[in-house]
Amino acid sequence: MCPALAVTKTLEASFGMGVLFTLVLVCSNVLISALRKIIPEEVKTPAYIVVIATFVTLVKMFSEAFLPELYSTLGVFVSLLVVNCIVLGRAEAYASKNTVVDSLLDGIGNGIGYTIAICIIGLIREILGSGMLTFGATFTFIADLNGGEKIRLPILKVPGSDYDLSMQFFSSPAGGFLVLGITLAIIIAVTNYRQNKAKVDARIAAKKAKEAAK
Amino acid sequence: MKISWKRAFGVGGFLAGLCGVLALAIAGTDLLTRDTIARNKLEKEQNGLRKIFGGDANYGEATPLEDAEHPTLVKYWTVHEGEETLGRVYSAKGKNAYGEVALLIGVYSDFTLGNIVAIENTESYGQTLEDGYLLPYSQSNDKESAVEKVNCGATYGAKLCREMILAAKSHYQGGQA
Repeated sequence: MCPALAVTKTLEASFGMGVLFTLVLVCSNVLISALRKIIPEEVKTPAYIVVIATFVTLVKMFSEAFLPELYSTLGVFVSLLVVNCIVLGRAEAYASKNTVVDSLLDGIGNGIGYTIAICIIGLIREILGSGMLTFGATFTFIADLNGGEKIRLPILKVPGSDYDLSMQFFSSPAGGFLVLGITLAIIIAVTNYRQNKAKVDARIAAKKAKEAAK
Repeated sequence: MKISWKRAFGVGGFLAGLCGVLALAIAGTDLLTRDTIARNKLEKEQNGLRKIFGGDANYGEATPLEDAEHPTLVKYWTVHEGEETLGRVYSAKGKNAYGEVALLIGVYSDFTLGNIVAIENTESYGQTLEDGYLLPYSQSNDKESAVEKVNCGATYGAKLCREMILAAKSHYQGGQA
C-alpha cells in the first residue's frame, strides 16, 4: 500500500518503481530458489530477508548512480521494498519450493503484474491531478532525446489557457487512496459480473438441455 | 525443540556465509557505483548553487564547517559578483525520524534570507514537504515569514528545514558580528 499511495503520483515514477520492484523480485526469487535445498528450515525467513535486503541495496545503489532522478523521486520507498509483502511472499510461497527457471518466470510475471497495477493508478492520478501527462521528469533521457525539453501531453489542462479541469486532490496521498479504492471496486465489480454471468449462462444451458431431453 | 550444538553451528555458519557473500556483492557494487554517485552529487550541488544567486555570480571555494552551535551546517560558499559580495550559500544536512534533508541555503549580505534548493529529500513525506513548504518558500517574496509557515502536512520535515535555514542565517550574522 505504501508505494501505491506515495510513488504513484506520476506515471513515470510508477513505472520506475515497477521496474525496480521487478528487478528485486526476479533476483531474490532466483537466488532463493537456487539455495532452497541448503537453507536450513530454522532460519528460512531471516535468510530470505537478508537476500532481499541485499538486492534492494544493490538496486538502490545502481539507481542512485545511473538514474539519479528516479532515485530522488522514489526516495525512501526503494528501501521499503525490503519489507514488501509480495517479494517476501513469493520467496516463501513459490521460490522456496520450485526450480530456478520457474521462480525466474514467477518473478517476471508478478513484477509485470505489479508494474501494470501501479502504472494504472499512476496514469489516473497524473491525468486527474496535474491535468497532463509529463515524460522526461523522472527518466531524463526522454527529455534529452527531445532536445532537453520534457514532453507534456495536455489532457485536462492546457498551459497558458483557462482550460483547467485538473483536481490537485488526486496528487495527494488521499487522492491515491481514493483512486486505489475505486480501481479495486471496478475490478471486483467486473469479476463478480463475469462470475454471475457464467453461472446464469450455465443454468440457462442446463434448463435448455433439460427441455430438449423432454 | 532441542537443537544439537552441531546443528546450531551449521545453521549459524550458513547464515554467516550467506551474509559474507552478500556483503561482498554490496561492497563490489559500492566500488562500481561510488564514483558515479559522488559525481552526480557534485553536479547536483553545482546546478543548485547556480539557482540561488544566478549563473553570473562567482561562488569560489567552499569553506568546511564544524560548528557545535550549528551542527546541521556542512560548508558555505561566499558569493561575489565582480567586487561586490552578494552573500553566502550554506550547505546544510539534517535528519529526523522520517528521513534526511540536504539543502543549499542562500543568505544575502544584509542577512536577509535568499533562495533554497533541496539537494536531497528522503523524508517519507518528502513530496508534501516539497509542495507544502520548500516550494512556497522559494516562490515567496517575504522569505522571513515564509520560513515560519511550517504547518504544511509535513510539519516535522518543515521544522527541520526551518532550523537549518535559521542556523545558516545565524551563522552568517555571528561571523560578521
